[in-house]
Amino acid sequence: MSEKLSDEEVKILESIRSGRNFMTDFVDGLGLPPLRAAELTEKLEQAGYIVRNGYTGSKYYMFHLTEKGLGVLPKLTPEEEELAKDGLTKEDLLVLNAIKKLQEEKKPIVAETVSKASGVSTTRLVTVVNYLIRIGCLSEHGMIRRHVKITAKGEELLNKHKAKITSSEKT
Amino acid sequence: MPLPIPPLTTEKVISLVVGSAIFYVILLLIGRVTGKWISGMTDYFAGGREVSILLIASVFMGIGFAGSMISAIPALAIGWGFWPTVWYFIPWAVVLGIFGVGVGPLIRRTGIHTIAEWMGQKYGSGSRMAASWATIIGLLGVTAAQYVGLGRILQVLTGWPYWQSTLVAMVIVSLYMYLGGLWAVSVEAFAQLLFGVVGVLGVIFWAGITFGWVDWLALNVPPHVFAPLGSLGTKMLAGFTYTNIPTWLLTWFMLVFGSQYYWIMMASARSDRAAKIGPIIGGVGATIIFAVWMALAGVYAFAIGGPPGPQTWDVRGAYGLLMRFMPPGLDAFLLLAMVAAALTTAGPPIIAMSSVATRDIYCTIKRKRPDEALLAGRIFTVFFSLITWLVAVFWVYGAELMLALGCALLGPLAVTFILGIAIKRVSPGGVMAGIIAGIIGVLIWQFWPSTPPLWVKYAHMSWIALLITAVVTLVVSMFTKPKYFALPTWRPPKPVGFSSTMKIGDDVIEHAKLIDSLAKPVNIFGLADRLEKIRFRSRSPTILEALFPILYRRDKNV
Repeated sequence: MSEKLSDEEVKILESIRSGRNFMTDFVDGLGLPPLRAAELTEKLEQAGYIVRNGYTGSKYYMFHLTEKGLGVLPKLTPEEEELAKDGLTKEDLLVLNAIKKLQEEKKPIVAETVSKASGVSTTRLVTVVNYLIRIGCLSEHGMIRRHVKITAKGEELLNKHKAKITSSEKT
Repeated sequence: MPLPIPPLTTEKVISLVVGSAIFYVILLLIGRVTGKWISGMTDYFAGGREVSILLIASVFMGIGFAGSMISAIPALAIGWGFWPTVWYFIPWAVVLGIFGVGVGPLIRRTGIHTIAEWMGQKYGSGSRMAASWATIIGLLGVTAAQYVGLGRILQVLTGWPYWQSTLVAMVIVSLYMYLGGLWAVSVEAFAQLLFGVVGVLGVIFWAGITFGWVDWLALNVPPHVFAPLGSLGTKMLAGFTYTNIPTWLLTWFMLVFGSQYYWIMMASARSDRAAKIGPIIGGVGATIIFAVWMALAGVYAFAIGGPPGPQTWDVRGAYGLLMRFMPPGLDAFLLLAMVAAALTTAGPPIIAMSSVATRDIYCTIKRKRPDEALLAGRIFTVFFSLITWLVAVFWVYGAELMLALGCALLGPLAVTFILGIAIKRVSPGGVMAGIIAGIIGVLIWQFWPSTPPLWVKYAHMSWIALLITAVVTLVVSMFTKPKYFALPTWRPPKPVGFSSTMKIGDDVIEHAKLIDSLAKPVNIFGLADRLEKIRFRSRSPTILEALFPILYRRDKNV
């Protein structure tokens, strides 16, 4: 029997489901204060919704969903399900699309410009961009500031799911 | 034969003032540009978590090329000799590399900005507060020491009281950090390093061309200066007092692992790669470029100016002495390098203190979210810049005292951090007790009325910090309630993939294996079975369990 979870707890579970499963993803991506994030993850683990990758070293800060955790999350829509198959969310797609546009317009692709073009806050963008780099959709360069570029894989996925951007933008 | 010290001419003063003015304008411009990149607390205190390898390496090189170092390294080369001075610096580079590779990725994953936050995240608010105050007091000393170092050099050079010569530097530091936060500190560090490298190498080339190279030096300094073990002899190889390699290694370990300004650079790294490689490049670069050449500068000062002393020149102002002999223009450049050295090292600790005061103290007391405290962060930055300067200028003894205290206070944080990440049985009570006992123990050891002091006679404070903190943390952890995952009743649930539609990644499979392995003890020659029998005779954890936690990771009920 599952107790009622708070919005913050559900957001953590959703973040893990979408592959953003480090503690820093909850802090930067969800805007939770670090201590609050620690408190919530401990509570969720003790209740059996999530489990840590280990209890020493950096494994302590990586999380996975359990059957119970997955069970309380709302089902993905068919559109989200398709994106999830490629490890993406709608937000990732918006960011990829914004970067592609900036690239075509030959504008600088740094945090402020991508944030403005995609509508994702700069703090949250850190998590999204790090994730997209991790799964190979973006590459990073820049001696001082971080500049990103869309990779062949990123372009392929963007083209594949482009139709979904229009629908999400309309809504 | 020592040369007479040349007088300070008007031409020289103009050269120094114009050079400084140009340098400060450049710094302010960088502050203004980086200020535009700030839109929130993470940008201000952690460079938007996108700081590059180059900037991380620059900041760490800048920390090695510190105001305190440009004063201390030449002095050590004169006292201990050239090679022991280089050996004193190498352990810092080694520890820095270990820090980056070993815990850089961990710090990035925690989402924290401060070491105190890490303590709070894992061990509760008591440990967080203890760590916050230890950090702030410690870093006040570290930062004030930069102004003291710069002030001593400028005093030898100009004869002016150093409150005058360091005032402008303090105002500039405050301004550019107010504007650009960690971004400004990182980019400024890179720019300041360019001045530093040219200045530090330039002075050696100038001295070599003007007076002579190593042969000339060897003829004009006592033999111990270039002896492999210097004046320290074989006691440099082992021991517990300050003048040996193991103690240097331990002391650097405590300063690096326990210090907020090393932490914040890891938290700001844009990738694990940047967090690992940046410190390695910074440590090696600082050793090769700065430690070696600064030690040589000390030897040149000795050869040119004769033995330092109250009637001749201050041993900690070797660069000031060399500047007196340099032609106008060149001296200005070296001065800028010296100012750059002080500023590169003053910046990170000030940001570090400010981040701790804002996030760990102000936000906790005011119950504000970190995002709402950007202005408070900026004000704290200016406040700490001013306070450290005031301490450095009006209470030199206090600055030196706080530097010593700083190293003492950071040690227990470093030790509890390592125990906390390595041993799951370490409890919140153990950490809190370890930090407090470590700090008290070190302070008693340091200030115990004894001639010579205990730390000179028996063992340096670092060893005391290590011993007391480790023992108290482990012993108290055995008798206090651990975190839930270290309880015998805890059974970690089994994970699933990211979603029912996603493939299960390698890390998930690895995790499943790991969880399974928790149920199996490491059973070398049946040792674990025998120890387990001893363990479950009583309900309290045994000393052996605390000392050998890996052997004891099996829970009875699993």
